[in-house]
Amino acid sequence: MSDDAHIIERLKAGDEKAFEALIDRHYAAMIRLAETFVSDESSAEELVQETWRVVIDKLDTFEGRSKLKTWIFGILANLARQRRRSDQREKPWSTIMEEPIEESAGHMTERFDAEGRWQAPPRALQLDPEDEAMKTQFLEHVQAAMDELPARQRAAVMLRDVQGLSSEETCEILDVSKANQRVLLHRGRAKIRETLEDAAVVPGEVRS
Amino acid sequence: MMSCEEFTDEVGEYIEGTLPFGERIQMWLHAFLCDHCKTYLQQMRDVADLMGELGERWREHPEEEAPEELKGDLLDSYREKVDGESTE
Ligand SMILES: [Zn+2]
Repeated sequence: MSDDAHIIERLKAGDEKAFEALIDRHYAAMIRLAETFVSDESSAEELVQETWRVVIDKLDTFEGRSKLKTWIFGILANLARQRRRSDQREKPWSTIMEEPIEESAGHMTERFDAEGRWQAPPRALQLDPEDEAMKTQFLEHVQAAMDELPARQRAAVMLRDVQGLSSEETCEILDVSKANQRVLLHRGRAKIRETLEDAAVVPGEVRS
Repeated sequence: MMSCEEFTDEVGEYIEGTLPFGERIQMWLHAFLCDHCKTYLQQMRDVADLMGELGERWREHPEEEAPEELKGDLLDSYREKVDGESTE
């Protein structure tokens, strides 16, 4: 937080180097977030660009009650929702964002017997935390698995796990209930776990 | 005891710490007694950690940089905004 306060002070004082650094730090993450709201690359870039214009415009009103990046992500998400509302061809965001909670097990059911006991137990991921090369390969699988997630799960996983935001911050940015946010996050993580599990059982695939 | 399927259903809530006390105890007990579910729980935590690590790497080396043209445009707007305020 104090880090943010320092940056904000410099930004409000007109420090161009600080502004450039801010763009560099958040641009890629903003593109990733934008891609969960819009369907093509150029719309994502446009959305990010629009977000920066609002950030510049509102910089002097930022009060530091949230983290700077949370504030920026929030602006991006709001713009995306506004755009969706004005574009009648797209479904309203709320119907896209909500996930039926009762189906949370979904894809896992075939791994249990009728009594709910493991029929196909989880296989070891063989993740050695000391092995840097292996970890790098694991992270490649994680990233590939994340890229495959449905947009709303991807957004939840990215904000919570990759960006390290709180559940409150994530709910606010995505405009979903807490329960829904947890379902999105859990499903996203579960699918990534499965991808890693599948990758780990092929001998020689994880080790280079 | 709760079934393994129920355990995996609730594991997200368990990791989030949002379960009521009674259910939390049941989950803890199940993981204590069931190796498969213990493994599953650990793997879900590993996944969250790995994604955190991915975030760390992206913070150190961003995946992509803002196009120079966009940066230039934004810097102009920023300069205008700052100048506009100081002359008010
Ligand atoms: Zn079990």
